[in-house]
Amino acid sequence: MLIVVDPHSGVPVYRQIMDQVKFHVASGLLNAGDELPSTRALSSELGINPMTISKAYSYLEREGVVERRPGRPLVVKAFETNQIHDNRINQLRESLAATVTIAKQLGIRNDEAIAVFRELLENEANPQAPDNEGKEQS
Amino acid sequence: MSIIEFNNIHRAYKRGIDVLRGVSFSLEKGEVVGLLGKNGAGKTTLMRIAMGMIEPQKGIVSLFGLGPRDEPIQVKRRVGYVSEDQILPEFLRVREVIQLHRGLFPTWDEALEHDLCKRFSLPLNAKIRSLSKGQARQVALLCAVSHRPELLLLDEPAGGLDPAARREFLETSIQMLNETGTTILFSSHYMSDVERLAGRVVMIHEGGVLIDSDIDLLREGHSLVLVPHAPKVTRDALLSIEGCIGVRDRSDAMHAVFRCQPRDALDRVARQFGSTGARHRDVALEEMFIELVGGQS
Amino acid sequence: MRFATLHHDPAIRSLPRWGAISLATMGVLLGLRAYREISHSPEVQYAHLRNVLGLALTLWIPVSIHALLAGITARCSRLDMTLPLPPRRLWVDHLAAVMISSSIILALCVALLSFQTSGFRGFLNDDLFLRRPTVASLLPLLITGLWLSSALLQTYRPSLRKIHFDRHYALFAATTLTGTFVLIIVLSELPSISAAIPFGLAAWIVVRTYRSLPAAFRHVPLVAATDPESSRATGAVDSTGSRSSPLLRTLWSTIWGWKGVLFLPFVAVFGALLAGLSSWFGDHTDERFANTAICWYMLLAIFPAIMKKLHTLDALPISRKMLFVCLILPGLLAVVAGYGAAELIKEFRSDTVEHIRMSNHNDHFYLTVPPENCEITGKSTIPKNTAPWGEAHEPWRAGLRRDGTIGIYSPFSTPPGSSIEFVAWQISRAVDAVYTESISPGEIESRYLEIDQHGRVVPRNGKLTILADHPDLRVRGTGRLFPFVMLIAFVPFLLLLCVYLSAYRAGVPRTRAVWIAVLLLVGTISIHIAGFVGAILKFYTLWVHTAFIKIIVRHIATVLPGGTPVTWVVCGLLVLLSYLFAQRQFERIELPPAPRQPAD
Repeated sequence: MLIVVDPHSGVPVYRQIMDQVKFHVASGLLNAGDELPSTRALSSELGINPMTISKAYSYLEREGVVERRPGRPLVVKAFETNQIHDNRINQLRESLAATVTIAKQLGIRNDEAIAVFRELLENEANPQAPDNEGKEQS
Repeated sequence: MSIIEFNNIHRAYKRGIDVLRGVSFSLEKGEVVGLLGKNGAGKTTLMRIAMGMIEPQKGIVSLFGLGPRDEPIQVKRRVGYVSEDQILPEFLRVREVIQLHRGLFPTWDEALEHDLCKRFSLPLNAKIRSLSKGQARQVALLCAVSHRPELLLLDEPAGGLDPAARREFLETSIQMLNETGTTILFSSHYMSDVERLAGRVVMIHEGGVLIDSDIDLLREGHSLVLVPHAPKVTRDALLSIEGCIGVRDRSDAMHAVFRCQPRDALDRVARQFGSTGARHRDVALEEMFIELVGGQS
Repeated sequence: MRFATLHHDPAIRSLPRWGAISLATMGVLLGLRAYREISHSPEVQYAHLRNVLGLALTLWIPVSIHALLAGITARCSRLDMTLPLPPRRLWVDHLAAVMISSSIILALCVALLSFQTSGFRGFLNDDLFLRRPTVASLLPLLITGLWLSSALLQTYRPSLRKIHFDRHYALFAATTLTGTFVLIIVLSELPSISAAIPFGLAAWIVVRTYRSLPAAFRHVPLVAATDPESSRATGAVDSTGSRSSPLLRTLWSTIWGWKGVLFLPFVAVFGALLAGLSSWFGDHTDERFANTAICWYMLLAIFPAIMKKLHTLDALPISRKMLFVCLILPGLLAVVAGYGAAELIKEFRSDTVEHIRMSNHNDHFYLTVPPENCEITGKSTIPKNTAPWGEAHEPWRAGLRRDGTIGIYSPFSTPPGSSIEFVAWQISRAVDAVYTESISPGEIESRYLEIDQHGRVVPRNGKLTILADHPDLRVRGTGRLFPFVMLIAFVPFLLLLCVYLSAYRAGVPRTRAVWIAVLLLVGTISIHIAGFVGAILKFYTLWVHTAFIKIIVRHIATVLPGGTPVTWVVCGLLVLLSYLFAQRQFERIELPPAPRQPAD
């Protein structure tokens, strides 16, 4: 399982871990029953405080992404198929929330914003027009 | 019982020039606390007070319930200390420095010592004075942790070290956390190290504790709002907004730190100035440090 | 620019400090010389060589201490190494700085010497000062010799930025300085043009060293390429196999090190002086207590240097008690060792020393006893020594000040006009007082005394041989002085140390420690010098002063129940108490932190 921590980003480390685990689950990289690395192993690997890992894991447990069994590593919980889909939608919704805030601050109208989103989606499907993407990221 | 407790610590080096003016905080077992502050804020003084090397002029410090000046041996045996300006006996060989420490600490763990010797690949027969800065610090770290201390006091331990050596330091500290449950109080100017290691930060500013908070709460409870320059957007106007604790005038925009959620902060800015194109940014600890400590001077 | 590099050279920067230290050392040496001058008759044999030696040594010792310990081993600072300056340029500047600074030190010492010579000329009765070779004739040799030794010291590992002071360097430097001194003495017998020889040698060595300088200085010597992997591979530190305990080595090397090895023998010499070692050069007057203040000075002098180094040990769980033992004990032991060695030497010579003598002054034989067997008086009239049959004589007396009322008198004196019975009675009383056995007056009269043709009472064969004839006689109160000497040497030292340590308490500015150290050192050396100046100006007599203390000690030892063993215990306790008091101060202080940058 690939987890990368960037201590310079403004996002708290435990949240970065949570987000990445959730993303891996949503994207199917982690499947139901897969074991998560132990707190110790992950803290040594990433070079971060084990308490932070525990914190991320316990939040994940509370959100129902993983489950704890006594004396065993944490495993990814089994989901219904539609639940997986719901999870993915939720991931997207969280990412877009920030974009919505920016759109509001820039005073962009809702229909314009939706048009930009649609345009980006279509460009992603059609890799011959990378220009727009570049502009958007800068 | 707290592992370490500072209670209303006062300390001056010259009469009238107080470095610390009533610093209080404590560390519970297993906590990792990053001690932040500008140069000269008194971090080293606090560490030296904890080690019993210097005495507070007012206030009480206790480690494991003991006074470091009253029971220096008991306290020092249970503490590992690495500091930037620490100097090992330079006429000894690495081997002899390790033997020296082994003899002084009854709880010495030879397996850990061998493990670290191997990991750092220390030249055991070299004299301390011929070592590089990084190697000397590694020897100091080895000596500070091999007795499996209950408390690690790391005063700017990575100061002047290269990234690889810094990482080695971090990993060794984490190993101690994992294996021994060591409590750690460390100061560092490398905010990324603080973010990785610390569960809590204590910021010393102008002789007192400016912030003492869980590191995640600190960041989630604070937000940085960038307000584009405009005639009505002034420092005072921003500071008058509820929850605004610091403003810095930068070339791109006014940077305002709010003690609230980003959404609330943006709402308040919008209420004050109308639609200004204010943006919110996630605050890394480093920026928080600069905004809070740098912004007030 | 050149001025700047010269100006910030440590040799120049430390000049004020070393000027003070050298003058203090010079003061001690001049004190010792003056002491010899006023207490001993001039030796006739080899007088010239003795004088040259004495004079050259007096000047060479402070200069050598400067050359050894002044920290002039740094050829350039770390900063200089980063500047675009060639090592040759830096080295020449440093050499110039060293030569200038040591020449200034020498000039200061010469100035002090001529001040002393001119200032006290009128008070010194013998014409020794006139026969003595003048400083002027020795000066060219001393200066060129100094330059030679500076040049020689610089040849040690020329590739290094800074010479590390270890035992190799200590040995090298000691040999160089002694060798140069011998050369100076040898050359002093030749015409004065011989000063060109050390000058030429120095120039040759400077040029050679200059040529051998590397393109860049190094921080550490290049070590022979012993495979570092071999030690890494094992990855383990064995617990056995080390020669000495790393703890003891660390304590010793941190606190004393090689500088201590050089310093402690000096302290031991003062211990020997306190045992009255100087009294059996020349005549037998004992003036040991004149050297007490200098003993405090010596014990205190090393402390500022030691305090600076203790930060290395501050973070380690080594108790302050342990540290304090290591700080104090070597100095005290050096004094005791010096004292013990002097006592041993005395023991070897004591069979020839009669304690009760009859010595001839102005055609009369006076009975003399050791000064401690005299008595103290503060009155102008002293009760006469009266024999049981009524014969009475005025006792002999010596004032602490000449003609003063306070002084000592001898209850055993035999002034002119004493009858032979009176003399025998006095000798018998003196034997009672000095030795543990007694000899009857009758035996003494028949065995030792006779009346010569002029009607005077004289010893048979010209002298008394009581001790030689009675090998079983033991001197009373042997060893009772030692605890008192230690008491007056150690207790004030420890109390002065407390004053010094108080400067390291929390919240006291760091500069105060420097001031207190200077005050204490200047104070103790002033007491010392004042003692000798007072003696030279005839304010008081040194040997009476010492006898005073010895008499008091004798009385205390007799008054105390239990005698000598109890005085040992009492003095030991007092020393221990002041030690514990000083230790308490030491436990409270804050050790000075490590310097911000490694000291250069």
